[in-house]
Amino acid sequence: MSMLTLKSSDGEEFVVDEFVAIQSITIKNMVEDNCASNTIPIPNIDGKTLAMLIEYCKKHADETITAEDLKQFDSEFVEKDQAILYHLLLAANYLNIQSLLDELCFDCGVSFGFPLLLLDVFLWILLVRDVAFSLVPTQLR
Amino acid sequence: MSNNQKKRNFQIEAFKPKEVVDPKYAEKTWKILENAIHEIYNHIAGGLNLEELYHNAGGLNFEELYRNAYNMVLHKFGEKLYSGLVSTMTLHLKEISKSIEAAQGGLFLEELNRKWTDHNKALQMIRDILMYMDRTFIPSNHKTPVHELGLNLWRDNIIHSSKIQMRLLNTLLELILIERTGEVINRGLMRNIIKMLMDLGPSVYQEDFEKPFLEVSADFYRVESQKFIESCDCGDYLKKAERRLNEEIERVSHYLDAKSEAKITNVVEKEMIANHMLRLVHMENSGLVNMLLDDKYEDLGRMYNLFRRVPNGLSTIRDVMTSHIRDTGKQLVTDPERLKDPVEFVQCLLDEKDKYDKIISLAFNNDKTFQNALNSSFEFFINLNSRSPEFISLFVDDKLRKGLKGVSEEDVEIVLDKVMMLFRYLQEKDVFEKYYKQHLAKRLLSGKTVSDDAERSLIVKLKTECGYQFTSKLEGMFTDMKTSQDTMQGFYTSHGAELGDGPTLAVQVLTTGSWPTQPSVTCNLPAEMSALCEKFRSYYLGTHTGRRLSWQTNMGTADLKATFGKGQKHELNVSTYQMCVLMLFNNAERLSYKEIEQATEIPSPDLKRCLQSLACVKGKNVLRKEPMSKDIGEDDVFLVNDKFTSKFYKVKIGTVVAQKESEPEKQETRQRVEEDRKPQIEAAIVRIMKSRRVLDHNNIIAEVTKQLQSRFLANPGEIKKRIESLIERDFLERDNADRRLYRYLA
Repeated sequence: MSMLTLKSSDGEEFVVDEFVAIQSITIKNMVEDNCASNTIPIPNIDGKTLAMLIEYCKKHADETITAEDLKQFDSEFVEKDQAILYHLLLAANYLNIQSLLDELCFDCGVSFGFPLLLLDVFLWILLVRDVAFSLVPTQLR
Repeated sequence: MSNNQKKRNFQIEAFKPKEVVDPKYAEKTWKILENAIHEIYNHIAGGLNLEELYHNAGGLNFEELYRNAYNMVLHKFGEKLYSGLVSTMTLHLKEISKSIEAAQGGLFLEELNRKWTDHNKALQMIRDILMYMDRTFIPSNHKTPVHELGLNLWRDNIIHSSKIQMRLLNTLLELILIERTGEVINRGLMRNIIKMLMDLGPSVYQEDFEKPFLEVSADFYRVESQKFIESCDCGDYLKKAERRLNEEIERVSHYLDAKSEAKITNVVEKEMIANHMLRLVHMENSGLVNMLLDDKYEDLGRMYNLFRRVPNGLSTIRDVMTSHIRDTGKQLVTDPERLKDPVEFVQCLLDEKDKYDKIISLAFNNDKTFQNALNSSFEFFINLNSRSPEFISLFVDDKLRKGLKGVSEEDVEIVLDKVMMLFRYLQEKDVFEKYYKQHLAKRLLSGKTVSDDAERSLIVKLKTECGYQFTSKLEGMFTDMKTSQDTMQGFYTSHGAELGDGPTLAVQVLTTGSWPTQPSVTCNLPAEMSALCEKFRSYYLGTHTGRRLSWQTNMGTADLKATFGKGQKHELNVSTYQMCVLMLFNNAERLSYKEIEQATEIPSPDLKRCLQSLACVKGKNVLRKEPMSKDIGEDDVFLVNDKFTSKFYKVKIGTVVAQKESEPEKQETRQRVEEDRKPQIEAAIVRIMKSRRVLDHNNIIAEVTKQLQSRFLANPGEIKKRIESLIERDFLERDNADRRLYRYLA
């Protein structure tokens, strides 16, 4: 079983099993085309985000986990700060991790398969909405 | 979305992508990617593998390239990236095209194949690097995805290049031609090239290869089939056609698209088989008829398998076979030589049927339509000869008398089933019934049946085929025989003592109606016999009042112990008539014809026949005749032949064996059959009219014919006569308005 090292933009290195990492189609292609040396630099993504991604991939590659537990994990996973979710979304988009993309898009209320290029715009709208939504109760108080 | 507590006071600027959009940025990024594409094409051409590619000094780094492409798309330079890809790839393909064109002779395909493999490798890498664009920019702008783009560019720049397109097609067709002449070609290479065409799309495969391939093949086979048909006989030609067909199928399986199989086999079938079908079938000395005559199962099977592939193939075979069977059958039933021996005749029919059954089973795949054609042919020609029912009955008679002696039960059944099969073909089943009754009567009365079980088995089969009515009288005959045995036992038990050592009597009491009717004849029995017969008569009538017995002297047999002049003793088995005649010689040395006639009162034709069998047959001439002529004259004189010898103690002289009828006898039987048919026709008419009430003439004819067809073929003229008769007897009436319409009178 081979291992890969993923290096984030701020120099943090993460050692993962190959079968965990290839949930990212981008990394998978790299491996299959035999152009991945042991360390893969990913300058787009910072250490914090990368760590979360790896955590997600590990859980989804785990064969012993039950369906309910996985669902539980996924719903807890997306309960994060807006900013963090935004970074996660961009990272999942870049690395082409389909299941995480679905999860995040679904959660944002965006239908799966929406052209991701417009996602930036959409995310703006959502954030504005969210801000408005979060403000309302305090205003009403 | 979640927790409201988590998001407060965030900076919107923090969400903007970190990279700055520099106008020169796009050009710079594109250059990196363009260079990468160049490197990929160049190095792959040089034979480097992908891993080496990424690790060589050129410094290609997948992640870096991927990120660059990603950034370009993200910053809205997708169009630049895409069009850059198209032009760079096209550039390389044009160079590749030149190198392929430059290849000489046999190396052309190899070079094409190699470059295609390289292109696919390069394409995969390029697609992986540009994956982000493939997922996002391309679908939303309705552009062709990278992989498909790569194939299309290959198609347009290489395959459809003016210098390559025809050369490719011609090379492929030439190789196939070479292979057809028997040489070996590089099938692996062919497969790769054809697969390339298939990968480029079904229209490429079809237009750039398949269509021309089919045309050229059609021409090839047209020429070849013409050559073969003029030089080969039918069997050889079919072998060659089969071989070519198999070759083409094998070719498809090795290096063509599976969908081409049906198309190329159609071509071969059309050119080699359909176009020459009739010529093959009717080929002199080797065509279908010759194959049938010589039982060439393999050739026939091959013809069947090949012809079934083409329209009207099987019907052509079937029609020729049918007319051949009908012709030979017709010859068989009208050949006077054959008709001399009825048993032989029927055996020929059975042999002919067996022959064709075997052909249909071994060569024609037990095809039902062929079986039907065979049946209809047999039905046709068997009924051409009006004596067929009689002959079939004679055949059965021969088998049941001696032919089935010592044969196992299963084999007996087989023979009887074959007889039934012939019986079914008869249109005049009632004629058969009449003869069968006659022959059965003779067998039973002379005790000459080989197996009681076989007799009964056949009756059962006839009953299954024709119903109870057909066989009820036949069964009655068996019953009479059994009953008579019991009666005789009773007779001897009660009168045994007084009869002592007089002649022994065995009587069969026949119920009139069950047995074939014979007119009563006169015959004077010798004194010893008549006394005995009277005793029996009174015994019988004592137990069965109200019945009448009449002796059938023309049907009996007798066993006589005779001592001749030199002391030779023999037991003679003779007919009743012969017994009467011979017993006269106990009291006289010589007797004239007239004296014998007077004493016995046997009718003249029967007497003549009887005397002939006693005096004129070599080996059985217990009487001598003066003069020694063959025929019996009214002035002949008869004496016992003291010089009579035979190596057997028991000599059979009886003439009770069933024989082919003489012409007058035949006429008589036919007349009786016709008479019997009249009431059957009338009964059918009445049945039909009773249910239909009103019916027109043509319909009555049709219905009556249908009802009676299991027994005989009704003659429309006869039906008309019966209708008239029924009108006279007030069963039916004619309609006043329409003369063709009849009404039932209740």
